Amino acid sequence: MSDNPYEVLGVDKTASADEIKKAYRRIAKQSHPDLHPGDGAAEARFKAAGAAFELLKDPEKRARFDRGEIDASGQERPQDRTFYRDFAEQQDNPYRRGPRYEGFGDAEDIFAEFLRRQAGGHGQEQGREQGRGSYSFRSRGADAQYALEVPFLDAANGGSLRITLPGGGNLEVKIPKGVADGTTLRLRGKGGPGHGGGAPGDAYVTLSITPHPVFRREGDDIAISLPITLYEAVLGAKVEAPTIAGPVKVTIPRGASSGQTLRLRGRGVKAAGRPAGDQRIELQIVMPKEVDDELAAFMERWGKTHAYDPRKGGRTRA
Amino acid sequence: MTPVFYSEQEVLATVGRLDQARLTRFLRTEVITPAEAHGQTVYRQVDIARMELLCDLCDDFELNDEALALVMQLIDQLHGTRGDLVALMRALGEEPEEVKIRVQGRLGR
Repeated sequence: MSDNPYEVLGVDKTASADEIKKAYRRIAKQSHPDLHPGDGAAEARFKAAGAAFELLKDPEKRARFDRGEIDASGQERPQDRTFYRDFAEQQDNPYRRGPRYEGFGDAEDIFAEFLRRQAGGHGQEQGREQGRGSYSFRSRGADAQYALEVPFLDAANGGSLRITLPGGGNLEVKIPKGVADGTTLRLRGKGGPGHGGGAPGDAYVTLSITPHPVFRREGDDIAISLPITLYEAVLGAKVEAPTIAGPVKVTIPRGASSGQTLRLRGRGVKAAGRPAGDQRIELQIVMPKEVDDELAAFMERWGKTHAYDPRKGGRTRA
Repeated sequence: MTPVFYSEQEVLATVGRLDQARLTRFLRTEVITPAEAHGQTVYRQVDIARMELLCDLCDDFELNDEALALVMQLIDQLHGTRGDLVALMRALGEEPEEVKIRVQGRLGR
């Protein structure tokens, strides 16, 4: 694609401000990624046109460009913006309209929804009351939007939390095991009440997982750093280590180094439908608070006869 | 790490072309429906992405309130339908070859 802003917009160098604006609008209309979600090249065209318009709509910048004082990329809009289409088609998009589906890729549920929709069981509808000639208006209740902070372990192990509703009362939210940060759950029928016999709306609950002082999540793996003593590192030991399901005994191998990682298979997040993750334990040798004479004397004696260079062979770089 | 929830101040700082008046307008016309937590209003990443689009629609196309709400409704329907189609195609893709051929035959009619 050309980076000459005039060529990008398809206008002459002599084009008026109005012509430039019209040309930009035409491209924006045809190429806005959110308006044309199926068009892969739309984003590039839209961004190029946006940058070109940004430059040419400002008479001063345009004059400077024409004089060659700035190049075409001189004054671009920040390009790292997010586009709505990245969220829009997701099942959990709270703004999504039309049928929505509980769960991901559950074919039975999808067919049930399709059939329900065919039967007219969704959204606003007008119905003729039986036996009478009058029309009644039925409308679905409004959707409610909630945000919920989920403690780390509840997100990893699954759990149940309550949201206190503004009008009193509360809403139970079941947290699925291994739920990801930023997930939106849809609670069918837990939104506002419907009118005239219409169905209630849904509640959308977006989850934010609070960090844990000990555990870190990496996908379905759990990572921790485990401090061990100098003598545990040298001699090996069995020590207690926390996991998300409670403490377990782990074996520190004889001669362990800082940074060495032990892997507890299947002790990570056990989400439904995915293989269980592992827990990784990074060992961290911690010196005693004070290096006393005895330790210092021993190390001095030992070092003289057992010198080794862990930096040899490029293991550490300067 | 990108935050999951944004306060109103953070939203105004994150979405460059958004000012207080415009945000008020988006809320009034209900094209943005933020979430609430303990009586506080919070915005999600989907709201941020949506406000970028809304700013485009306001700046580039000079849409008024009515048109803005209408356009967003149509966009949401479009994306919802595309999502359905993707789900249906995925389901169909997992079916045996003979089923796919049979469906293809029916579509051609």
